[in-house]
Order: sequence, then C-alpha cells, then structure tokens
Amino acid sequence: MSLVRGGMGLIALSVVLTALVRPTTRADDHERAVAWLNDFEEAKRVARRTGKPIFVVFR
Amino acid sequence: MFDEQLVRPDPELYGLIQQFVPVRIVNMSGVDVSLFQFDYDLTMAIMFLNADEQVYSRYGGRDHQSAEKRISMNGLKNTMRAVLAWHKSRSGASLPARPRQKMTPEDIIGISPLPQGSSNCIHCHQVNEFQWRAQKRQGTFNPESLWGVPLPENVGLTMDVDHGNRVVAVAPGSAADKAGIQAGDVLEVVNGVPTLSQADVQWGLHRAPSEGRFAVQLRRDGQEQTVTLQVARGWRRTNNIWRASVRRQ
Repeated sequence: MSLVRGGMGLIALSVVLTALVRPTTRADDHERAVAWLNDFEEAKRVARRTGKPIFVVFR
Repeated sequence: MFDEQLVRPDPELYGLIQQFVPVRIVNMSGVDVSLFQFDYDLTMAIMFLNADEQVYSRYGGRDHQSAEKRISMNGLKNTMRAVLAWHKSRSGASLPARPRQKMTPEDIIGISPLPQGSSNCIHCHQVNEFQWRAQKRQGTFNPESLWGVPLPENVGLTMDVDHGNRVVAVAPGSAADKAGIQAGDVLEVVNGVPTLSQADVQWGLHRAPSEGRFAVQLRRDGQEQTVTLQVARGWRRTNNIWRASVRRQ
C-alpha cells in the first residue's frame, strides 16, 4: 500500500516538474499571437481610444 | 527570420508589442508615402507613430554584406522602450495635424488606385521606382538619389546594433571625426531627425545635403552638445547593389 502511495507521489511530482520545465508549445505561441491590424486609419482610432502609440511593420 | 520573430514573439517582445497598436502592411497600394517615409528597399521596415501622425522612430536596415547585421531583437526592443518612454512623456498633449498632402504610390505615377482585394500588389521598393520615373519624366531626377538612406559609415560612424543611436567607433579623418564625435556618444538628433535607432540616424543622413553642413545633437557623459558635420560631394555613394529599386534603373 505504501509502495502504491509512493508511486502515485512520484507520478504527481513528475507531472508538476514537467509542467514547470516543458519547452514552449504551440499553445503558448497561440496565446502570444499578436492581433495585427491592416488598416492605419483604424489603428489611429484605436490609438486615440487606448492612448497607445502605433507600431507599423511593412513587409 | 526577423519577421517570423514578430509573428511568434518571445514573451518579452510580446509584452512590448502589447503596449502598442500593431499594424502590418504588406501592400503599398493606397499607403500615404508622404507620411510613411522609410527605406523602401528593405524587406522589413518598422515605423513608430502616434495617433496624431507624429513619427517617433524607424527600425530596420541592411547593407550589401548582410540583410541582418544592422538589426537585432535587442535593438528592436530597446527602440520600442525608448518610443514608449517618449510617448508617455507627451501623453495627453495633442499635436495639431501637420499640413501634408496625401500621396500614394499610384498618385506618383498617375494611375488609378488598385481595387480593394486586388491580387496586384505594390511592393515597397516600387515607391522609389515610381518616384524616379516621375522625376525623369519631369526632368527633375537627381542621380544622387540612387544613393538614398546612406550608411552611418559614410560619415565615419559605426553604430551599436543593440543601441542604434550609440556610437561604437569613429573612423579617423572622417566627417564625424572632424566634427568631434567620439565613441560612446549618443546621437539624439541628426539633421533635424530625432534618433532612437540606427534607422533614424540613416534617415537624418538621407535628408542631408549632397554637399555642405548639417547639425548633430548628441549626449556625452550626460551633457548635451551640438556639432556640425561637413560632407563633400559624393559622400552618399556606397555599394547599393542590394537595392531592388536601384537594380531596376
């Protein structure tokens, strides 16, 4: 019984460690997806409303 | 590769981008090039502005040796931080709109705007080509304009890639050397252009005369100074064969 409890504890610990050290995943990338606008006039309206400066990338 | 890092930013860059309104433009059709003035031959260029269309800074650059040696992710992040600090310092103050005649690439060569959703595309480098074509038609073309957006090295300056307005080295005997610029100086305004990045330094040089003088404001050991650079005929000329707009002339 104590062996079973010990095994469960190790599994739980490995799950926690894996969560802490896991590499960046696609889900993380998705969470950091930037909501790019493609219309400068719309960007000016948003900038005026939010007080943020505008970052324009030309590709 | 740099562009890919913008699409999938690291957490630090993502946090910085979140403090801006991000815009991505992949077609110059209909874009106001009287406002968006930058090095049109770059495959990726960035401009920072506010809602009043005040330009804070530009980012991006390359030369004939490398497409990426003049840019870095740290350099971009440092420029973004400087822009945010400047923007915050003037927060609440609204500037009057500058008098400006909107000019699109289509206006330059007198063609109709491309229809919305058109599969046709005007590339950035074509803006230069359109301007030169129109100038040749009007007899106002200056061949020196083929050497636009000069490198800092053309006046003897080597800039820090990660802190683009900081001087790393000054070539002995160069225009910068004769003006008294030293390694470690931080350039704040070049020929009237506020400089937060190497691209800003280059834009100030872009607007400098083909020969003559222009002022540079700098900070050294916390003290502001203004020096005068004198440039001689041909100072803009450098290897520009990487420029698509020039190759098509």
